[in-house]
Amino acid sequence: MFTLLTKRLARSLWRTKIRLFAVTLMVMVGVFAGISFASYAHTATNMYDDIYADSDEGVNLPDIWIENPSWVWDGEMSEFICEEVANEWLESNLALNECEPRLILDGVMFHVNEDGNESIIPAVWHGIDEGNIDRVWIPDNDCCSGVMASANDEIVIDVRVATGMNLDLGDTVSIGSGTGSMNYTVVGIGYHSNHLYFTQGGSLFPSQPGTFATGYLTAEGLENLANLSSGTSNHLLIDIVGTPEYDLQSTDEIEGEELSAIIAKINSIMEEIDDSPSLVYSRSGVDSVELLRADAEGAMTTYIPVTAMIAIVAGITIFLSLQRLIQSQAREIAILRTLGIPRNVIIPSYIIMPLLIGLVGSTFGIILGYYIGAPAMNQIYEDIIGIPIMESAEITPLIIQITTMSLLLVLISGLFPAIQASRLDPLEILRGNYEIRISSKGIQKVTSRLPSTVGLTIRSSIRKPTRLAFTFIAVGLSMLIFGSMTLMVSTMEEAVIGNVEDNQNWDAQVVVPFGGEIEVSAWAEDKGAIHELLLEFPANAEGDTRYLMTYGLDEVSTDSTSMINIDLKEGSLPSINSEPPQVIIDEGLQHFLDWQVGDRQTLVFGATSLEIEITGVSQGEISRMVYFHRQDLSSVVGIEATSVLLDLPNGVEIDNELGEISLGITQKQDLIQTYETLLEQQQGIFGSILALGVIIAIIVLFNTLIINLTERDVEIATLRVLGAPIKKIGAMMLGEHIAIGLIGGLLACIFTILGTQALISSFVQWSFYLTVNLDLIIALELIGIVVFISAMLTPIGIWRISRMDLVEKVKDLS
Amino acid sequence: MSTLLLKMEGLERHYHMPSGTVKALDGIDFEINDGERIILLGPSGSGKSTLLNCLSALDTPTSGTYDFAGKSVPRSPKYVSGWWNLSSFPKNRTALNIFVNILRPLTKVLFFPIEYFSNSRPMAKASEKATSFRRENIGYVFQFFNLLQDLTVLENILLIQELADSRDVKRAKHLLRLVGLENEMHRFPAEISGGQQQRVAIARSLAKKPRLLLGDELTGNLDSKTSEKVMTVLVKACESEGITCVFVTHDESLTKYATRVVRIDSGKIISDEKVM
Repeated sequence: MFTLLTKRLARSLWRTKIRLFAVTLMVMVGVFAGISFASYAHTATNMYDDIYADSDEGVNLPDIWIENPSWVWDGEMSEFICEEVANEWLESNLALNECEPRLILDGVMFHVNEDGNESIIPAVWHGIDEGNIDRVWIPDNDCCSGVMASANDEIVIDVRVATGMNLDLGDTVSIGSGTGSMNYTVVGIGYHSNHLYFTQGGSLFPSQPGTFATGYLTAEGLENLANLSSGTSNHLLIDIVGTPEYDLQSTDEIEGEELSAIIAKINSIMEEIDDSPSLVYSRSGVDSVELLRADAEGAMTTYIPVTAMIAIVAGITIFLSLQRLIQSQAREIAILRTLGIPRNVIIPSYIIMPLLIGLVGSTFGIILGYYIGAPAMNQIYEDIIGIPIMESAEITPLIIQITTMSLLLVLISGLFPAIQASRLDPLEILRGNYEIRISSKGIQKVTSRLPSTVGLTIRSSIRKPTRLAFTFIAVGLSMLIFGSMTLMVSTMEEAVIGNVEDNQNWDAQVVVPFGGEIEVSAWAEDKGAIHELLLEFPANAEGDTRYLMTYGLDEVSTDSTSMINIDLKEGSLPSINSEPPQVIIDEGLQHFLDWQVGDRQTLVFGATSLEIEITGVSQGEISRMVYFHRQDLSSVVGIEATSVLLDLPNGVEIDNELGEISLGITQKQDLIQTYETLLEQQQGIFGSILALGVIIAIIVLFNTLIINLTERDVEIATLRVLGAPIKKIGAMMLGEHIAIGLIGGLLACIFTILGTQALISSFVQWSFYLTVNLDLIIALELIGIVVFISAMLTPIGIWRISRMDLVEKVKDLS
Repeated sequence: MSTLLLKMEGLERHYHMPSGTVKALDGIDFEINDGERIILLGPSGSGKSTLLNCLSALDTPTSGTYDFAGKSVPRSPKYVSGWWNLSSFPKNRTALNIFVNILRPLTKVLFFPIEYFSNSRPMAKASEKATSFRRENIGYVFQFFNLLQDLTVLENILLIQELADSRDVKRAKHLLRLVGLENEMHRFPAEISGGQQQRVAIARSLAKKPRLLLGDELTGNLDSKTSEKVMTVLVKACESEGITCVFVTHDESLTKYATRVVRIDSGKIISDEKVM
């Protein structure tokens, strides 16, 4: 009996091959996407753990960094600080392993490309002495080769520099760090923890080849380059035995209480022994490390919801298809029930079928995920992050996890129709009352004054509100994938390119050593360039360990012609020489610290505290910023400027002379190009994700609209026999599809906005703050796509009607 | 003297089944004059429904002629089965056949344009001509009424007029008065009885003032008392509107409403009698 019923159900399903194919495709897409995303998430997490591990293979990442942001400590001072830290070490479970001084300097690389053109590339140079902590990572991989620098004229360069500038072992590179230039021989090609995610300081996007350089010299080698005495450092790397918990920027809780206590203690030591402000932070304060952690954590937390979302959409399509199947088989089921077949014999078939669909879809999904999705996602990791994957995540447990989850959702989607089938009332069905479904009285009343064709279109569209609601949810979810990606890209583009292009009117930012602004200003005056000093200095809010950047501007202005144009969201511009100093904060600070216009708050610059008055809030910044008048900030930190902004006249370009007196030159055009190139590179990925969303929406809409149509076979056949032209029926159908598309599109739009806001709020953190731009064009694009898909399914409906065998249908009617 | 409405000569409709050819209509010669009310009687499988389908141009005769009001009735072109349909292969379970079955969807996709222009498009065009013929000339009443449940009684009639671009509320209300349902016009089909629903279906079939009204077992779903009432209303409506009627039925008692009774068996007319 059970076998026969199952066979009958399978045959019925096979008759709706296109729908069957569509729902199987949905399951396949869900499993494929799940495996691909899961593989990425686990690989990224493993990579993060392995690279930074305190092992022979890992780099032995420091647990605490002490940084001198003003300039450097000499050798004696460096050793003294390390001794003090060791002597004053807090009684705790965390034991000090080592304290190692390190010199890390901004600089430039002079590079002559294959065309013979010389360019000055901003760079960061590391002088590595003992190298027990924060080692250069030269993995056993095709990417890397050579050894650590041991002589003073040797350098290890980053893989991305070697690739971008076509450098190899034995080549000579010419570099500088504010005091002329020197040549070094490349003896190794590798990576460093601070630059695994290869970005120029402060940027969120990987630098393009040839626009940024990093290299790892001996301590003495870098001291020679910068003309500094032996033992000079500006970073002290502190390693604790084991890997202690640390405070994450993305949460409000303090995860590593013991480490935070030690950091606080070191801060107090630094206040006592050094007058100039210093920064003490854990690994959450190192951008590259934090970005890789956030990427891995984000991928881990999103892959399950994304897979579940696609599986839910698949579940909805299966649920709707089975419900329609039961409706069309109601008479047969009623006859079986009348003949005495018990309910529990009917239920299993309706559960087995979705499971079978799930199994077939999952099998194809697994094959595609294993052979295409997972390798492609790993490739994306390698392309974007720029690190070779040493060992991919073990995929079998992920396949089991994703497939089980998908099958479970598919099973649940089959349960309700199965119960519904078993609960059909045979008497009601055989009386013919079951199939009569009419729209609500309210809809009838509203449409009663409309022409009958229009009234029928509207009433039949809303005849099955549950199905329609599920369809809208499914379309909304599928378009969420498309919409959130589009909205995210638009938001990021506005935040990065828009902000730089529209609000910044400089051509180059020249980073200067202490006092070096005079030479750069002289160079600018000599070349007829407009120039303005800029002072950047890290600080933190009192009682908060997270760092923000204070900006001292000569002209704090909302004028579109000023070097840095502040996009004021609320409040007013600060006055110079006020007491306390007046400032503008970015909206991220307002969000995280709940600081408001008119508030007086305290900023901490190393050992110095400063009360400020907030006069305005700016918008568009990704990082946390406080804008001062430069004079106000300079009097606190004791530095005149950290860089000079240049507006170059036509024909004037950056030259070697400027390169040799600077610690790095950033050109505005490079920043814009970096993001634009990244967008171009990722077109394929964006395209795939966008296509995925659209394909799912097509399947969902197709499924529902075909069900709507088959349900109305009798109605349409009657109209056709009575002489209704196919064009008129087509027009009615088009109207219905457009109406469904409009409502679906509107819901998709709402889903997208809410979803993107949720997505952004899930990864927004102290160092990365964004607000969703409600772009009308994107909203219209979303609605338009759903309406278009819906309307484009009309010809399929017309084709189906034109193939309708009216002679056969008349038999049913009579 | 009444005028000739339609004429069928040598009409045949054959179906090719695996068990052999079934001759549903086998050389029908048939004429109907304006204003006649014809009852087509015959046992199951005699061909009466097929004849009705041919009369309404729903079905295309295999051979013979069918003229309506002096013009040939549109018919679908013969389906040309091209080699790409791979239909000449026997349907047994040989390896070749299994291979052909796998290949068939591919050839269907590949040869879609040829199939479309040689069969689908001409057939769709012919089908629309036949639909247009029905719209202009034929009214149809079904056994199960087939009213649209989402529309009121009045809207059911208006819908047919709107589809023919001839919305006429006055006429729709007049027809409802004619079938005695003027007080039910704003009710939904589910809210009225089966007999009333069939009377709405009659009013609907008259909405475009057809020249020929066809009914297939139109009282088959009603009790005898309701059937009497429906038939009385129908005859009255047809006489009032001057419409010719052909009804297919098993029910001998309905012959009293006819002006002519035609008996059919095995696809042939076996008797054709005028009643009055």
